[in-house]
Parts: sequence; structure tokens; C-alpha cells
Amino acid sequence: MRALAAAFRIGFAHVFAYRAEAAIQLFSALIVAALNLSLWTVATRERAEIGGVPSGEMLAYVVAAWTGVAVIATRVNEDLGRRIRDGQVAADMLRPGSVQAFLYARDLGRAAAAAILQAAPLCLACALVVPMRWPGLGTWPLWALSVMLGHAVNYGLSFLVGMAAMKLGNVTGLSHLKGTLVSVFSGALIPVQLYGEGLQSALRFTPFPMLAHAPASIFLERDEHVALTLLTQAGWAVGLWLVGAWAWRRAVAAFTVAGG
Amino acid sequence: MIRAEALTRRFVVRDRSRGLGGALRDLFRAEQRESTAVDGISFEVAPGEAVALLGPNGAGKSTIVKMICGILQPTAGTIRVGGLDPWAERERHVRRMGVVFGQRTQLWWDLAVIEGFDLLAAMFEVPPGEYRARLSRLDDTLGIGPLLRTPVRQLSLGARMRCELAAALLHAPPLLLLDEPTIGLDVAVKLRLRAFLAGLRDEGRTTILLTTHDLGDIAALCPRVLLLSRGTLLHDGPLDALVSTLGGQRRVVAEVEPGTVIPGAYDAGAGKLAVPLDPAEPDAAVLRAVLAVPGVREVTVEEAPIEALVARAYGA
Repeated sequence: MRALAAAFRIGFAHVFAYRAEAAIQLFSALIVAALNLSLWTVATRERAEIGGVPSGEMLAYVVAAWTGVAVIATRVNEDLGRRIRDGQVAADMLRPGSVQAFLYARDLGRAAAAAILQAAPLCLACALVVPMRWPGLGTWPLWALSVMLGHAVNYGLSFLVGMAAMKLGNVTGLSHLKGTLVSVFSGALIPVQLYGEGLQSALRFTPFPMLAHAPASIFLERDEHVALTLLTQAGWAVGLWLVGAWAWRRAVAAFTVAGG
Repeated sequence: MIRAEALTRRFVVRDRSRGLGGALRDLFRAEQRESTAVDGISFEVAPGEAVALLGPNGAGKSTIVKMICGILQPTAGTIRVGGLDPWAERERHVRRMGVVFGQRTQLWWDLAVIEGFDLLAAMFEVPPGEYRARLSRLDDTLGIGPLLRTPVRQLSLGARMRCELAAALLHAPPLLLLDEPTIGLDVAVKLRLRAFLAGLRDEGRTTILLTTHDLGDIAALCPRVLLLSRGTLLHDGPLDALVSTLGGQRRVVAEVEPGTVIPGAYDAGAGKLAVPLDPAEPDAAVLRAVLAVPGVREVTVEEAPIEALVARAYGA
């Protein structure tokens, strides 16, 4: 636990290592949120509802979704893929403990820093221009838990993509694919309820809506089965973790660390 | 401490074709070949020994180090470190080992040195009191105190290597692996690191395995050398014995006209040829033979640099 706590601290400190980078990331998140809000403001202008969601709530959904995305967005896949490709992963394998657990704890630290440095300012800035219906006191911890579970699910996906570098050598394409799938199907760009019924049904069998749509729905108190949603998120997080652990053991056995 | 028996490692190497056409062809057809990096090597290193792995690029040194570290499995043969299988018992094994890579870092590039040290101490479960005491001792010997709050990326190479060495020793491992630790360092820093490692060696509590191209490192630190070439072990013993095996240190150096051939001579560079002198034979016979060759302008007798002898061994 001491090691994981230390990894958390490293991940947290890393976000603040480059001040300009931290500021640019916040600025970038604000720009993307503003663009989305503009888009949905235009789309909802003459309509009372879209896909069963009242128009006024649509903008609040966008704010809630992007606030969550600022926390759960991770670069573990790119970082791990690069470390495998250039052989730096050898240093990770020469330390005790699970590489998977270490990277998770470190990314949790990053997520905590992102919550302070990006998510909170983003949410507050958007709330100045969007009429937000803030959730009840009892919903906040459920929303926070859902965001954490969403992060765990995204980490699980990212770890699998990153470690694929042991087989593929280069995971740039795979990372882009994962990023695209997450953007489109997580509910961050487009609320899941706006997709056709067939696609909505199919998405229920994927982890993607657990990343942004699930926490945003809880935040807006539109989820009638919060316990089931949280359990589903936890199930995906645990399942992806177990698959990642199994895949790592197999991949490492056949992998050659690059470089002399 | 380390026991290797018939240690073998083969790799499948994918050959890439040249040019645009070759790149397109490679999409559909992969040419592969098997390469043997380590071929049936056996050796033992006792606790407290300091041993150097020496050999040209591609000799198999780093492959052996990776198998000792447990990040690469042998294709055949066995390796045991402290009685443990480095691969199968990795978790226990890495706790008893410190590693310094000359060309990789185990610290966190963007963060202060002390952040990395704190994390390593936590991962290796070094008790806080022990950690503070050890850090203080490492500061005394390596002078890392002023560096602790500096981001790793802002350290000079010499400063970083001192920190890497300290990081590898925070948990007082019984085995220290050094993979080209002095590469790229200036003379002053090299001497400082050598003095530190010599002190560690003399304490007798740490087994040291060093891979290096720097014969000065070996002469200063390692009474025993394992000379590798093309995956095989050519020599296992003291450096002096290696030099004798390679034909002794003294040689006749002849400055010659282009195209001159002296039987038994090798190229000594700068238009010179060298003939090794056998300590058991009189020098006069060799000198007469060399002087009798047409095209020889000038002859001297000198001590051959160790590097020249080892380079000949690489070439052979």
C-alpha cells in the first residue's frame, strides 16, 4: 500500500511538473467544452427535447460529461506503448510489485490532480453560462464514485492497448482507434440516448457508455437504477483488470526488451 | 550468487527489405531468421565477487544481464541467482537486486530526484529510518545531496549516473548489476564512480556484475573478466591472464611502406604493423625477422595497449 500511495503521489506531482502544460490542458478542455456547448445550444434552440432529454438538460449533460472526461482521460496507452517500444519498460519490470497496479495508482494520482486543475474549473466556468440544475447532496458521492469507476474502466482499456505494443511494436493506430471509439460511444460527444435503438442496445454490451454517459446520467439524476449502473461499471473495471493481468503475464513471457 | 549452466538465448529477427518496393513487399511477406545471442554459456559468480562482462557489440553481454535480471527467459539452460529463478520468482528476485543502466533511467524524468527515491524506497519497503540513514551515507560518498530537488531531466549525465547508482542501492541489495555505467562520463566522474564501487567491492557485502567497454573500469574494479564473443565465452579469469592469453603485452611495432606484409603481424594503425612478443622466447629472433622484411622503415619494442589486444580478440 505504501508503494501504491507513493505511485499516486508521483502521478499527482507529474501534472504540476510543467506549469505551462497544465494551463494549456485546462485551456484546451475549456475550448472543447465551449465548442460542444455552442453546438448543442444551436441544436436545442427550437426544440423542447432531443431523444427524450429536455433541451435545457442537454447542456447540463454536456457540462457533466466533459467534467468527467477531464478526470478519466488517460494517456496510459501511449505512455506504456512507448516504454515498451524503447525498452524503458525494463526499469518498470525490475521493481517489485505489479506494473499494472503501479500504473493504475499513478494514473489515479493524475486523475486527482486533473479533478482539481481541470474538472473543477471547467465545471464552474461552464456553470456561469449554462443554467445548471445541481444534484442533491446525496448524489454527489454517487457521482464521484461513478467517475472513479469510469476512470478504472478507461484505465483497463488503456492498459490493454498500451501493452499490445509487446506484440504489435507500435500502438499509435490502436490508440487512435481506442480514442475514437471512446469519444463517439462514451457519451462525451453525443449522448448515448440519441443513438438509434439498435446501437444503444449494442452499446449496453460494451464498456464505453460507462466512461462518460453513466456518471453524467447520475449527476443529472436521470438514472433510475444507480446501484445497477455502479455495479456494471465495477464489473467492467474488474473484468478488464483481470483480462489485463492475464494478457500481461502471457505477453511478458514472449516479449524481448528492446535495446542493449 | 549467480550460477549459469549451458545458458542459451535465441531470437527470431525479422529482416527488412530496402527501399520503397522493399517496404511494400514486407507488408505481405516477412523474412525471418534465427539469431543465437548466447550459446551455451556456463559460469558462476560467488557472493561478494566483482566480475566484468567484456565483449564487442553483439557479443551477448546485455542478453546475459537481462536473463540475470529476469526480464528475459533463456531458450535453453538455466540461470539461478541467490538460489532463485529470476524469471519464475521475479517478485522475490528483484528485491535482492539493484540495477544501473547506462542508457536507461529508473528515475522519473520530469520529477525531482528525491521523488523517485521516495517511490523506490516505498516499492522496496525500506523502513523510513533505514532509508534516511542510507540516503545520508550515499550523500557522503556520492555527493547527491545538492541534486535531490533537481528534476532528473535537468541533471548532467555524470550527476544523473550518481543518482542512478544511489537509487539502485537504496534497498541495500546483495547483487548490483551495472550495464555500462560509465558510458559518456568524463574522467573525473568516472574516477569518482570507480572509487565508490571499489569501496563497495572491498566491503565484501555486495556482488558486483559489470558490463563495460571501458577497460579502465575493469582494471579498477573487477579482478575477474568474462570475455564474450558471438555468444560464447572465450575467457573466464583475471584480466592479467586474459592479456597473456592474447599474446602478452609487449610487441614489436614496425613502421612500414604501404603493401608491406610481415608474417604474424596485425595492423597497429597509422601505417604500422605489430608482432606480439612471446615472453618465453628471446626478442632478438623476432626483431631480426621483422628487420629482414623489405619495406620496414623503423622498428620499436613497446607495451601493447590492452585495448589493442582485446580488439584483436574481438576480431578473431
